[in-house]
Amino acid sequence: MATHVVRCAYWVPRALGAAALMLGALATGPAAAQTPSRKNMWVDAGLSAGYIRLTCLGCSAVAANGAALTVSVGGALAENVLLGAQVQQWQSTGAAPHQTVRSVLAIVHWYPWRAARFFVRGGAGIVQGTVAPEASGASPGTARGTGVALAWGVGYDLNFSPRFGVAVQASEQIAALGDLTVGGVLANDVIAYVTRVGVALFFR
Amino acid sequence: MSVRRLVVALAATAALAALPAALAAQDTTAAAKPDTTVVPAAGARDTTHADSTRAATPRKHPFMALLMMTGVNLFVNRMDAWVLNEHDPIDGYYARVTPKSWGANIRQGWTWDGDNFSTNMFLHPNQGAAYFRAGRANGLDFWESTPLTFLGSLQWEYFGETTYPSLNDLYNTAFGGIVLGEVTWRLAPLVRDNRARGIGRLLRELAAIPLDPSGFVKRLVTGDAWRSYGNPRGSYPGAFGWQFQAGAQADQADPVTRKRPMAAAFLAEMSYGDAFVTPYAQPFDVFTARVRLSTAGANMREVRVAGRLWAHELTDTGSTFRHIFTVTQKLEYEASSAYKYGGQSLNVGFVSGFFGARGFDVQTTLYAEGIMLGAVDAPRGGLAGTPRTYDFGPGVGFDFAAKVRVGGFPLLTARWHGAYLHSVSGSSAEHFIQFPSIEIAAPLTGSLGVGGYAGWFHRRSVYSGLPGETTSTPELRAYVVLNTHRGRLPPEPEP
Repeated sequence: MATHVVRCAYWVPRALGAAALMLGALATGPAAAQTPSRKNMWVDAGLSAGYIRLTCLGCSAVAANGAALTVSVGGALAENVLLGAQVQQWQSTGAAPHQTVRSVLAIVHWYPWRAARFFVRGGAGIVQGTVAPEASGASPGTARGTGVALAWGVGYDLNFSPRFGVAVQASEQIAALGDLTVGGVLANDVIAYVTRVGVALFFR
Repeated sequence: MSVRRLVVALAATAALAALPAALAAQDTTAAAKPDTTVVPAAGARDTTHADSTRAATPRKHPFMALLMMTGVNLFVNRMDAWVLNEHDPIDGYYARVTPKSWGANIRQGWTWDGDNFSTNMFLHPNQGAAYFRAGRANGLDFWESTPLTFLGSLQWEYFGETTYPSLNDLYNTAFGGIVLGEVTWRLAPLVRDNRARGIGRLLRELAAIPLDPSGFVKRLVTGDAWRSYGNPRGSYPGAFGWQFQAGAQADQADPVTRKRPMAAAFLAEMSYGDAFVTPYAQPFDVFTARVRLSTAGANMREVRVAGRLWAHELTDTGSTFRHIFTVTQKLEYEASSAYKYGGQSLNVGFVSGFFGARGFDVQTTLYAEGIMLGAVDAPRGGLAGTPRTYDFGPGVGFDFAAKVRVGGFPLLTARWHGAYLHSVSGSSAEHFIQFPSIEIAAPLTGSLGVGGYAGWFHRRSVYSGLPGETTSTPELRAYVVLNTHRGRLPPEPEP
């Protein structure tokens, strides 16, 4: 089975590096030293660079670059456990075919230590994707599928104040889209992986 | 994959539990163990701290929980590889992992496995329960322990097997592990009795091992297993109930001989807490667990465990009619020779009750069901060349049940469960499932009675590009029923 993996465009690591430097500079201020507060409602909104990778039974694995917009909102179950809902849209940024993956997930942030800024993020929900798997013998094309998604990742909050700041996040969303017919050929059990790294403004 | 893995997972948690206990014993900076004999204020029931080996306000050890979770996987993997020498006809020596197999798993990513129904839908949740209890044993609360089932499963799928990571394993281990992990964690202190002595004490300690193996080893290390001291406050459910059934069941008639296969059937259903008695305080402070066994076909016919995640009473607690808005998490497993259905779901709905005179009451539940991942067998479903004969998919459903009781004895129980599954692995299909059923029982004494059950399984499957098909299966049972320890419990005894 041939594997074609499109590497992330060169601008992705550069942009992320610049963002990290900027955030690092911001976080070195005295406000960053304040103890984070996570007691009520919380909101995240951010942009990520990422790529999609598609697999299915009897298909070649393919990948494409893209970008994702993510918005999450929820409440604090405890000072170190946040529960909420996340809406995300990823779309490809390169050449055709144009692909999108939309998801609505129930999401949990877990801070292993109450005073820590590091967190683990996980979620599950519904996904809809218009994707282009490469089934053997099929002509190029896209197909739309609806399925179920799981997501997990890690993040780190850089607080400007106890409740406001920027979070650096890396996560993977695995979307099971089922059987899709692409170019007249059935692609069985399609799974779309959206891997992203980005930043999000947060209010906790 | 086998039943042995479950046993090994239980043993692993037991062995690893000694680690934090031993470390804690050396921690001279730890606060003195609080007096567990202190009676909490009314309404201050905290059922999250149900381990008799821990203090009322346990110190949290998330790093130790992660280590213990990793230890479970390490122990299970090495047992499979070195001791049991596990071999699967399809997957080969799947436990013989190497850095090369880790790299291959990471590069390939997730797929769907071809394991049989009981392995995927029952054994994996049990392995997840071991991860969950690793969190609880180290002071984490319910919500803090839930990520461990996902992390543990991720770790196992990438690094514990040579086979590619399986998405269905991740769902079932993680979500099912939360349900079974919390239920077993809460039950163990009820089986133990720190005041008991002699053979009674020993039997109770041994009986609690399958529920909380880590707690058992911890008690051995700390000496709590034989020390006489107060029972923990907090695991007392306020209400409790058991129902046992023993009788005969008739399955669908054989199409050739037209005879209905008969078998012995046994059922145990436990109610921990009562939605109308136990005010909501913590997740799973009310749950029901039901297990049905049969001597024919799949011996384990049914496992259904549903726990309350959150609740809000909409009416006055003293009124005749009561309604409680409730969110529950459910694990469901149904297997017979004619059909298989299972899944992990989140239910949102209402628990209602009418409380009349002379102990007469009617209780109903009506839930809308969000199925994270369900499984149903179908003639065109599954993966060719594997033991898997069923599809996986998310879905939605409803679950309605009504129970008429006198003096806590259920005279009539009706249930109608419907589900729609959108297959994402197996056949390209939409499955529509219904389970209407009715049970009628007549009391002979206050607790003992005779009863009968009539149920019907119906599945309609619509395939993409292929003709659809339906199947219907009746199921009949007659039994002797024992309802015991039911209803509101007396005030919590002194520790």
